[in-house]
Amino acid sequence: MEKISLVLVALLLCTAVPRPSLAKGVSFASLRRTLIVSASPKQGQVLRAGEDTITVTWALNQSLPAGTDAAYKKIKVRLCYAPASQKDRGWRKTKDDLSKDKTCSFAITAQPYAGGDRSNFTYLVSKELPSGTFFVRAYAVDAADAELAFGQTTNAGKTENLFNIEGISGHHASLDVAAACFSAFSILALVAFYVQEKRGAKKK
Amino acid sequence: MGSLSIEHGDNVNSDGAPPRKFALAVDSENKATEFRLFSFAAPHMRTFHLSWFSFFSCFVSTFAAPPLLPIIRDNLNLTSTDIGNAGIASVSGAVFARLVMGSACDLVGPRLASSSLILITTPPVFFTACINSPFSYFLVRFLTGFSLASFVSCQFWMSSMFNPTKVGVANGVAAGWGNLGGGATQLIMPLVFELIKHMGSTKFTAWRIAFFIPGVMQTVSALGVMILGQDLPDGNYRDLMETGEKTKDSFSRVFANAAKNYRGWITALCYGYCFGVELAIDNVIAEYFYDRFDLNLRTAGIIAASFGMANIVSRPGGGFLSDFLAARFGMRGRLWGWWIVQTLGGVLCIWLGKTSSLSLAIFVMIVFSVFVQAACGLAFGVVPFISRRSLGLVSGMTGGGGNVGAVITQLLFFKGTRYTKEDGITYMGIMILCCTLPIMLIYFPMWGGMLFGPSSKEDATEENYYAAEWSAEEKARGLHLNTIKFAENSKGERGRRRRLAPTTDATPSHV
Repeated sequence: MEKISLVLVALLLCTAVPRPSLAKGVSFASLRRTLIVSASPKQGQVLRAGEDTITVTWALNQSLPAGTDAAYKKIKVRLCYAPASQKDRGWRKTKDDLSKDKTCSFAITAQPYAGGDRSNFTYLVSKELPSGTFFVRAYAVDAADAELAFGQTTNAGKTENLFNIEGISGHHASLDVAAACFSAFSILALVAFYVQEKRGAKKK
Repeated sequence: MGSLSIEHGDNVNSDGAPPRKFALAVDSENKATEFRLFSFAAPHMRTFHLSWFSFFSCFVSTFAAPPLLPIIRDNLNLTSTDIGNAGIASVSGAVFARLVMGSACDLVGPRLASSSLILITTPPVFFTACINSPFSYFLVRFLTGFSLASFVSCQFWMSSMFNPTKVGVANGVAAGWGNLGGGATQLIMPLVFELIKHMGSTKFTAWRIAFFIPGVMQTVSALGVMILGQDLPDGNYRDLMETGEKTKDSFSRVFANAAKNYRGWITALCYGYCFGVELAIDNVIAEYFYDRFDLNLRTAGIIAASFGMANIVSRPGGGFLSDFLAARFGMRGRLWGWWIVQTLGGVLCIWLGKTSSLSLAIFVMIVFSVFVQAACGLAFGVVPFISRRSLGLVSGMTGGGGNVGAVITQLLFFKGTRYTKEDGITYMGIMILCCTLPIMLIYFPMWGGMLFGPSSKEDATEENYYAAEWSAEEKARGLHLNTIKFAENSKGERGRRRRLAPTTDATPSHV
């Protein structure tokens, strides 16, 4: 008992020591929209998980001054929730601190930055994706993996050019059959026992 | 509980056959006077193990969804409101069902009552694998939650099998190990899910298959209860009712008696803020750690599990503490102990919501779980003394009150996105502090309460308190005589100082 109290006290002391807070992530509001990103789905199109594909194209906005992309090392392309899919779902909330932001939870691809050239990638919509409304965003990151700039297929208010994904249900007919069989067994067992109880009573 | 109406002076059967032999030492009602945890001897210890394990499997099923919610919510496109509603539904069915169980145990015995309930609630568990919408998710959680009424049959069964000196331990361990299911499921379900995914399923199929595990556990344990269980040390209700060893009380009288006793209502309210809080936490804690601290499913499950796992020792510990305090300070000690432990639980709950460091949060959560579960054990150190005639129903009311507390807290603080989960936890802690104060209102004339000592009036005796549960006409028929035996045995609740004081017998102890 004493040893346990010592361990608990030690634990408490360790956790009570003030720690430097975790470094905050990059603020989204500080990023410039320097990339032009487009994706194959049209506004309102419904894509089926595991069947349909999305082709994403991105490139640096050529009208920007030269040298804007000096620090860009990699482009991370991600699938992001539209506001309709975030409503009343606190675990998908948009936060300005990118290390806490949950908007863009799914990775499409990450590729080295190809200078000013257009790049593209074809992505098979994963079976692990939930149903919902989405858009595509690409972040330009530096060597330390910190975001420097972005581009997205929708407007700043995230109201235009959104597409839908229909996730798989995961439900198979075999599950229905199994559930029905197991349930029937339980109920029948109960009925059998009641019958036996009644019979036993009659005998006496 | 009102079982035997014939006094057994010694272990002689009504037909004069030689006394039955039991593996454990027994008293005059053949209730065990010892509690051997690792024995499976029939009928006492075997009943104990069947009872706690079947109750455990009901808890596993009822809280099987929460640890998998991060997957289920994506599959079914649930909103926070949907999740909150289903969480409330999962604990609301048992509010009413626990009341019904108390009566059912009286009528048909705990063996039939509990195995029937547990078997009937297995289909919703199996069909959870087939749901496809927020409404169907709500429905299966609601129907599965009825199985938590097996708490009442579990406690009732322990009270039938164990002598008052051991009933506290038996009840505390059985209830604690049953509630453990709420913690074990947070480990079992993510583990089963990972295993199935590893074998090649997509995650949206894997979670569905995982639900067959709690379903099968529940079915098997109910079959065990039905086949191997026994209502009373002397046999099953059906057999005993035929030989006349067991008589029935009037349901309406038992009901009226329980409803009139204000103490049962107070314990119902206050139990809502130890057990009810435990249920609410079982529903939200895995998601809380997953979302707030960005952990993966398995890690969040392990941490969440340690909340429920503390039940192995904390609830029995509460029962022990209650008995320990009673030995020195009587019922006043039990009440003070309950109030102090539950209030500290509230303080720790407030702290948990305020903690943003992961390791401190885990530590506070564990200490919080110990206090809140010990409070449950302490609560059921008081409940058996509130009424003798309506013990089953008062236990059912208190148990039901626990679920009402869970419903209310989830409705107020964990539905939708009005409060973040951490704020919800803090406000729940504040509510615990407020709703634990009514314990101060519980007063027994012969033993006192938290703030006042026992009455000095001559008629403030145990016999009068328990005999008052019967009308004059019933007393004339001698229906209250077993109660007098209990009153005698309960004099220990006076505490060390007063135990040796002579008692005034207002009614003769036997005709």
